[in-house]
Amino acid sequence: MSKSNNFGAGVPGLFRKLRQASTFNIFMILLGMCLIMTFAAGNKFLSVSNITSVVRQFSFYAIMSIGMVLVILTGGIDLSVGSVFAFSGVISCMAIMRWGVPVIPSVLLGILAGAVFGLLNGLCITKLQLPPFIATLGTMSIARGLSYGITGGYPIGGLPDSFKFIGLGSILDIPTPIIWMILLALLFSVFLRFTVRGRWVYAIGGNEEAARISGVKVNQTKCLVYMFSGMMAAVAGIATAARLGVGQSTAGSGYEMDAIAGVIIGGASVSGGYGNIIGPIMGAAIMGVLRNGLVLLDVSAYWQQAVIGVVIIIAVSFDKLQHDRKSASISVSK
Amino acid sequence: MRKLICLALAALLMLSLVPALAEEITIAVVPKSLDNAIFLDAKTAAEEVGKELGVKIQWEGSTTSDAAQQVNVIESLIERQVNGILISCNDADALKDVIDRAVDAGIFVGIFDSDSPDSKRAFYCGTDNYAIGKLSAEYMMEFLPQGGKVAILTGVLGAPNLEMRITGFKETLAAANSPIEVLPVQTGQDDVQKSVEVVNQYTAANPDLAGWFFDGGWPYFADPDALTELAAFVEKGGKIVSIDTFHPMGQFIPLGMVDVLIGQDYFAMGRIGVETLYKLIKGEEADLGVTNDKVKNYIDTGYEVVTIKNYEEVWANKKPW
Amino acid sequence: MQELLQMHNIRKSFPGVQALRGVNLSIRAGEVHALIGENGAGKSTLMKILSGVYAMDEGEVFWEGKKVDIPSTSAATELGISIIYQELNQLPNMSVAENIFLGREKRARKIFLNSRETLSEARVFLDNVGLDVDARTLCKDLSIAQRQMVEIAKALSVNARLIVMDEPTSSLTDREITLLFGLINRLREHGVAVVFISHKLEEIFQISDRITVLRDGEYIGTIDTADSSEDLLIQMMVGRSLTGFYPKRAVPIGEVALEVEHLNAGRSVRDISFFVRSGEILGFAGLVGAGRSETMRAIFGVDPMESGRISVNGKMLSHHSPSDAIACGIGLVPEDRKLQGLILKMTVRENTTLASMEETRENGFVSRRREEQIAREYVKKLDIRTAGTEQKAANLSGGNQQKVVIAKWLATGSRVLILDSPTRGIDVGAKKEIHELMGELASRGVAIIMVSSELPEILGMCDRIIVMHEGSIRGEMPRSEATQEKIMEIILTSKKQAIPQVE
Repeated sequence: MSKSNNFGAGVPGLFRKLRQASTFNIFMILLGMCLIMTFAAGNKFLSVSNITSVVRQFSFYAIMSIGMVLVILTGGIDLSVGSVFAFSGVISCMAIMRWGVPVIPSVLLGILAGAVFGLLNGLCITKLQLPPFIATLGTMSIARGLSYGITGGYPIGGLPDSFKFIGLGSILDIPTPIIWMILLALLFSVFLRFTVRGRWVYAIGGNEEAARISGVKVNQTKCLVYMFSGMMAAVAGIATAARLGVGQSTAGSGYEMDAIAGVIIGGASVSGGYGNIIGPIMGAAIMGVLRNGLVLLDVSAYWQQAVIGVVIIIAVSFDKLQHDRKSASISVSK
Repeated sequence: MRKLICLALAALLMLSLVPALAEEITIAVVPKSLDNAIFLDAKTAAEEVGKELGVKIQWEGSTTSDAAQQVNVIESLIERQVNGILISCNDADALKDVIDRAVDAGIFVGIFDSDSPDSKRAFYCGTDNYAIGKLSAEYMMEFLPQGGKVAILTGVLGAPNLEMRITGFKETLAAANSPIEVLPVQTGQDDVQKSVEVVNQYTAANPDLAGWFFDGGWPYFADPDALTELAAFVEKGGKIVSIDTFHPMGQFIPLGMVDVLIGQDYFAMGRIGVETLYKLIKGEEADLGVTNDKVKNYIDTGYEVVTIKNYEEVWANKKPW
Repeated sequence: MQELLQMHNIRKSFPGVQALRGVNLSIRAGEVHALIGENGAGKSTLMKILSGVYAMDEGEVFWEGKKVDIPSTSAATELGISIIYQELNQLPNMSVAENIFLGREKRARKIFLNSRETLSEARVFLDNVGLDVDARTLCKDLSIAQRQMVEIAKALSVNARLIVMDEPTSSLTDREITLLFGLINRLREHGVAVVFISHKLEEIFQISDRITVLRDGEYIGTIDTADSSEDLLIQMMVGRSLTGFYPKRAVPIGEVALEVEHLNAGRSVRDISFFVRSGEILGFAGLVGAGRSETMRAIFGVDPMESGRISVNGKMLSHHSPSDAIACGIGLVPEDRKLQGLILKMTVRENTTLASMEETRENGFVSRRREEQIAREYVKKLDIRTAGTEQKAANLSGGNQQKVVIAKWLATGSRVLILDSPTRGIDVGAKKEIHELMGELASRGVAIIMVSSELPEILGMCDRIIVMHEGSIRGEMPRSEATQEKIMEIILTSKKQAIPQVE
């Protein structure tokens, strides 16, 4: 009854495989946008320095989106990432500048702070049974408040070059944040694809009750993904502090929406169970190219928000239509 | 049992009245939000002058720049019957009612930094935003007599003080028939990272750019190393005029990465605001500034202009952050 | 008799699938017409064409002798065709009356809702179907049977002449089914035609006048119920005759594999003690709501237990969670395969290996190759009909889905397998395959517990039968002594005992 997977049979194998990849449409949208930009802005867009700048810019959001997609895959949401972003950056900078901790332990301390907030989210959700939206809304406020508290609202500057290297340096001409993004994307792709816990993440998002009955350690796994999300926010926050050479308690406000947008544009299902790591990175890239394009094309800031909104809606509906067509042709059950 | 509760309540009531009976003057200072570092100078000044005058200063505010949250803060201050409130309004109209209610409740209200002109507030002390936009334009014309393209970076779109600066800047250029061409406004959304990226990308994308006008100092909160494109820009002779003179921004002057900084004097706002409120509460005569057809009881706190010439002198007197 | 509806040579294909290949259906006014066939035979597709959800590729539809077009669901409603789906389309937070008139709200002065008229008219239709609830009750507070009645009332309110009921009895108790059949008989007397889709042959014999059989999208035939027999229908449905409906094998019975002592968990699990031996199939009979599923969930660690001891092969389970139960070699095929058994978004491969992920690891990482190997092994062993191991579980038929759930436990090497209503909502062919599978597992020494509400299935498959009622065990008997009457007697007499306690 269900032998229906032979659509597009005439197309060469590799291309067909690519077309079936869930991120294919998103990739085409990104490619289309880059093409439009190339025609519209020419070398301004294609110059090495511009591309590097765009990639570096979106890599911070992409890193947060990597953490966010793990949470969204389980059917949850993490609103605290923007605040944890600030808190971890501030903690690392405070450690270096005020507490006399060497750079590497300071960075680890910042990441640990992110993990602690993630664990707190996880425990609120699994033990106190709070809805993720509420739990992370609470920690969002706590992390932001603590950032103001420990800095008194003042930015922390004058950071050593060895710290700034994390966000400002480059290895083999590749800016460091891009390297972190690629490494983390690989790491978490392996996690999702090739580890038991990774499979459990999908299982929980697909059907939590069935997953539990199948022996999936639901609570543990949820705590783990919120910890990962907190740690990714921390990495992005620390790298941004390093990039700007300043730790600020105000950093990253509203970034949770950028991270969520990246995940959704990247084709993940908000209800969980469907998505991957590459999607959110492409989602973040689309946002990055879009923002860059508006700057390059000299669009007035007063109109930029509206244009961004229109493009997001077009992109997501295009992807959804393609997706629906695909799944309609597969599932002809009964 | 009920008697006991009544007694306890009465005792509590008495206790809560004690601070008022002690005749200690309390002035609450309310910034637009607690998360905005630019108010820190005002806080320092207010606390200093509070100590001198023997006034209790309460630094209160919402965690984000939100008019509705600010209304709640003022309502709780009315409830607590403070003697005076010094506030920077997130929204002129949204705060009007609650300010009027505070005044009706016998509280002296002064406004600093951002006004609500139609309210019953006693005075407004702050910067003339139009004037600093105008001054920025005059500097720009001096730097670029032959004209050229000038870009503008702003923060949150629609903020009244920032819009006034842009208007002052543009109108002055137009009135002088300057050959300077103003490009569409760009925004960093009050976020340091976003401001840095926009400035870098826009500078790189417009090789023929001759000048930048930052109507707030966001990019200069970052490390000089982060502003690679801007460094190249000034190397080629590009000119930059920026508003704000906060301590971390100073390092960019000797680096040549900014030609003029025009600062609002938050220190003066905090000091003059608290002093004037103190006089009003005490019933003394106070200078409430000028009143004309545009504004009533306006105390101009002036501005400071910093270039490489006076940089060392000015920064020597600034408190490091 | 006047033909109310005639569908001729209906064809419909979806990309890659020929769902209907020239199907005929003719319905007379005032008859109950059963539509049967295995899952995937095309019943739902045919009904969706009839109700205007799908457009047919080819064919003709006649309504009262006139050729008609049914381009939309509203066109079907206008003709007088109503469908009551298995999953009822009701808004749980709206009242019964509001649901009946949903989309056709009674109005006052064109724009305002007229709630008085809504209520009074709703009461008329509720009376017609004999449902004695207040029209203001919220739908979520009704039982499934009552909600079904509301749907029928709604159908009557649009003057339906033909009502399609898609597996209406699947979640009803015996008493509720009797009530439903009474209502169907009344509808028949009033000249309303009913198309009755069901897998339960005994119901079809009880209620229907004629039967149409579909198989693999083809029209097999229409016969009078009076002329048919169970064997004939099964033969028409599966295309071969199924002999020995319950293939119980005689298997040597071994040591005690699972022992439960004085288990208490909530109101519906009170002081449960029993054991099951390897190679044995133990049946749990009882009414829906007797506490059988709850008992199984507590044993498996899905729900917390208050007290009691559970031991597997003589070793007591200490910590209690599904993963501990799995580690001890227990597997649970839960009551609701879509909500509890499977992850529908996942593939056959992923569902098969979900409980045995540790086994699929090579050098610490999940090996896709190992997974595929395991999945393919079970697809072959259990004859799971799927386009491949990468097919989404959602796209399989009910029987094949259930086989995937069983495969998941076989992959963990379960020695004790708990099957809760394993054949509910599954067509006859697949049902038999699952029974055969149970026999085969028992012969390999697996201890099996089966919960079922179908007494013939319990009697046919089990070595020993435990009867539960109101949260406790009321009786136990070996296969040789068990009869339907005896089991019912235990249930009914314990009910009598229970009544004084209530009063």
